[in-house]
Amino acid sequence: MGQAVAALLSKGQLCLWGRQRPAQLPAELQHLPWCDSVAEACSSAEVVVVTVPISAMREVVREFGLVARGDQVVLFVARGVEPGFVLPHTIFRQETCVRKIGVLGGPLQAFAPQPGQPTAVVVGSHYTDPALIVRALSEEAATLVYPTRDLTGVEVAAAIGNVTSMAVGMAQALELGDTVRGLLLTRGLAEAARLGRELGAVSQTFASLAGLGALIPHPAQSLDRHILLGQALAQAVPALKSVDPGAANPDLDGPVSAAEAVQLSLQRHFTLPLVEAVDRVVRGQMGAAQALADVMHRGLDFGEEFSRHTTVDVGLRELERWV
Amino acid sequence: MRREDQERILTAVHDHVVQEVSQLGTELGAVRVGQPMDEVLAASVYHQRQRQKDRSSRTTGRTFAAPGSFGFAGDARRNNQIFWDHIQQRLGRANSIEQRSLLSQVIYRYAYDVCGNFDERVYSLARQALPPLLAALLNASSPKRLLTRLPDLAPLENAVLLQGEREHVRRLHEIGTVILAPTHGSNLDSVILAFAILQMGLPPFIYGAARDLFDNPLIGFFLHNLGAYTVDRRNEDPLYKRVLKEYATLTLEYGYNNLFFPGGARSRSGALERHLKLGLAGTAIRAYVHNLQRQAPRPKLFVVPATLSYQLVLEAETLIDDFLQDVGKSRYIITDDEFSRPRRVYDFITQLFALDSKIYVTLGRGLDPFGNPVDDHGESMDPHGRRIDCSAYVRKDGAFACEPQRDAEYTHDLAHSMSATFSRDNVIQATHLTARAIFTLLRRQQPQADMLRLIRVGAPQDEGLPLRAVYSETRQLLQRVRTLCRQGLVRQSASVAGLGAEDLISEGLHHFNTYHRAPAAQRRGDRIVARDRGLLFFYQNRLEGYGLEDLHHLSPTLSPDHRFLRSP
Repeated sequence: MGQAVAALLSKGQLCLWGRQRPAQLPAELQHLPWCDSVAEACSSAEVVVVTVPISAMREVVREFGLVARGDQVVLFVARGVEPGFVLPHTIFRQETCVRKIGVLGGPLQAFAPQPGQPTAVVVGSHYTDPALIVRALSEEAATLVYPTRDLTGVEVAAAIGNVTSMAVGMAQALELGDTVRGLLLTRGLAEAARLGRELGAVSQTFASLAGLGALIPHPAQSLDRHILLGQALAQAVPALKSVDPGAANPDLDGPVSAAEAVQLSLQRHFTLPLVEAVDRVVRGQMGAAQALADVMHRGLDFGEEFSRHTTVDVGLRELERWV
Repeated sequence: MRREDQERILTAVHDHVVQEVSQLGTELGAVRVGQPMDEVLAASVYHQRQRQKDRSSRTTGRTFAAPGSFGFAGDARRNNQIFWDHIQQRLGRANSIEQRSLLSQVIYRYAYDVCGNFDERVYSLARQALPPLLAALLNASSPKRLLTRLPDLAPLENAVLLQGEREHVRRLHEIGTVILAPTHGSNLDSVILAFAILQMGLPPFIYGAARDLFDNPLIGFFLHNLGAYTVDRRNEDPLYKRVLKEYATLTLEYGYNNLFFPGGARSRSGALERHLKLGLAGTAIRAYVHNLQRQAPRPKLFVVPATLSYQLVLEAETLIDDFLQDVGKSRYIITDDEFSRPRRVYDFITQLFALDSKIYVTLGRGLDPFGNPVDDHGESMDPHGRRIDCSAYVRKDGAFACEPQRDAEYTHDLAHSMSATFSRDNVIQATHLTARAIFTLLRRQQPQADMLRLIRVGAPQDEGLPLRAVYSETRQLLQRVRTLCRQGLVRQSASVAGLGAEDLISEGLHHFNTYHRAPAAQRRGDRIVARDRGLLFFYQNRLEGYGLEDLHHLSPTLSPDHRFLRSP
């Protein structure tokens, strides 16, 4: 992921830092200087791009906080949340003085861009500088940059998007077909929007590039890691003991996002059936087939529009009595 | 304010606003896209015409001219009419040079209106028209003398408890310029704050007082000592607002401390304000940037949140009544409330002193214009308490500049910090707890009833609540409040800290029995009867926002921003 972003921002003067220095960098990045510490990499930088997964973010951001300045712009790509449903941008706010924080969302996160093909990225930030910088540092024609102020919405869409991918993976392993895949994607988006609204996000973000737009490009046979995780979960026999969501692979944020989303929904009295289903499967409380069946075969839900009585209706009923 | 400064500021206000409007980039670095001048002027004319129409359809009982006007009320209106007729007439045929001249005239008119050249005739008139008692009050020349003249009243010093970061704020005043940002619940706040500022040994703060306030000569007197400027809240012309903001910004740049209420108006619901007006808050950043640009010797600005807490609020009945009207029809400007009746004000003050009731003014830690807390040397701190250079927030490519969108976001963060401080520094008193206990029991009696119904209609037979139930509820509340206090999330008055539930209820009921037209609640034998549910609602709202309703799985009574009733 980090390498993809570095390729995206190729016009800038980059220097790299990583938790582990890779043995071999891709060709286009080999000429870049390597820094030995976060402080060295960030102290004179105008733009800091953080591409570590959410589980490692706080430690890295804390080190960055030692040298951070108010005029720096920060970009990050991490999906998922910390326990307590702490969104990634909050980590920056809690650990540093930096304000111009931007999340890179949309299809860019789904998979690395193919060389030569245009890419699209959503930049979610309360400030205009992050989007301007992404625009300035990427190849003009090839990158479509869409700014939005709904930073929270982009993060929630990304977090729940991975949970949805897990559900899709399960459905694929169970060979439930394309209709079910569509149903799950739709449900996933709706639940992401429900959760996002609770946190102050805008509903439209979930129907936009950051939400829907990130799910559409997935080919049916995708190598996305969360889809693969879902497939693996569906094929495994449910364990009799409960499993800690964060234990599996710390680079996969889906399980933690699901667990934390369920906690939040319980606290605030609303339901997220699909997210709950995924969470139960992860914890080994239920098999994938049963969990998905529960989500799909819910009772008839006559929405609000069925309970409204308009004055016209009442009037007609009155008329009927007299006629 | 010194006279020479005032004149220089007026000229600067005029020049800056003209520059803004006429599409000229300033050398100070803020490039603004201006509006066509004739559009701006046409908008001004339109707003003034609307107002004149509104005014002529409203009956005015006022006989005093507002300060800054050119004579008596009738004269002032005629003057106004003539001026705007003149502008409108010439605007139709004006070329760009004439437009510039018209713009200057309008801006200067607004600026002088804001500046408030006090008319001495206003005060001599006021003194003649008032009953002797108040005339005696006006004859005193200082707040302290004023109060010692009133017979058997405890001095204001005992009644007002100034606590919190007193020493810290004094230091900030020596390092840079201070903006005091207090909560607003009553028109008496200005008086209390004026006193608090005096207590701290600070010079008077520049303060934008609503023009309506000058109709009350008692308060007008205090405001004069404060160095107030006039804010005409009925003037909706965007150009006027620009003049106002520019004026406030310039007073800050000249090093004058400022005071403004970030909530805008008094809290109608009795709850702490959460929806803050950002217009004047944004002046802190502008002034800071300008200071940095001209390398001023003391460029820093500090925003100090101050949280006021009364056991009883003078205008509670009018305020809660207004809040409970249909949403949207709530009056932004109320001029005919308890505050405009001198007898009522006098009663309130004397009764409050007689009850030995404390008015808490809690000063919070200073904030930089971006919402970061500052240490005792005025240095900004990051979330881990490390010193940071806050000028970096407004620096780009080595130069300092304003950027409207970015600065608006910073101001948003500042508002968030202020709001959080208000919440932490709120002092819970006996009346708040008593009202909360009683009101919660009423809610639990009718869990399905919505707020309006519960308050306006009440229960069919109101035999009151058993005393034991009220004590029990109070005990639970006390436990939660004391826990919150220990966690530093709220404060409590001396009584709340030291007394048991029975004594607290007693104190609360005693207060309720003393001042308002009808007591909010009354004890009858072994029961407590709610007499004015609106008032109970008002006082209990002071405890909104702390999650206390979770105790009984109830929902909050107000919307998250505390502006409306919570939508079901």
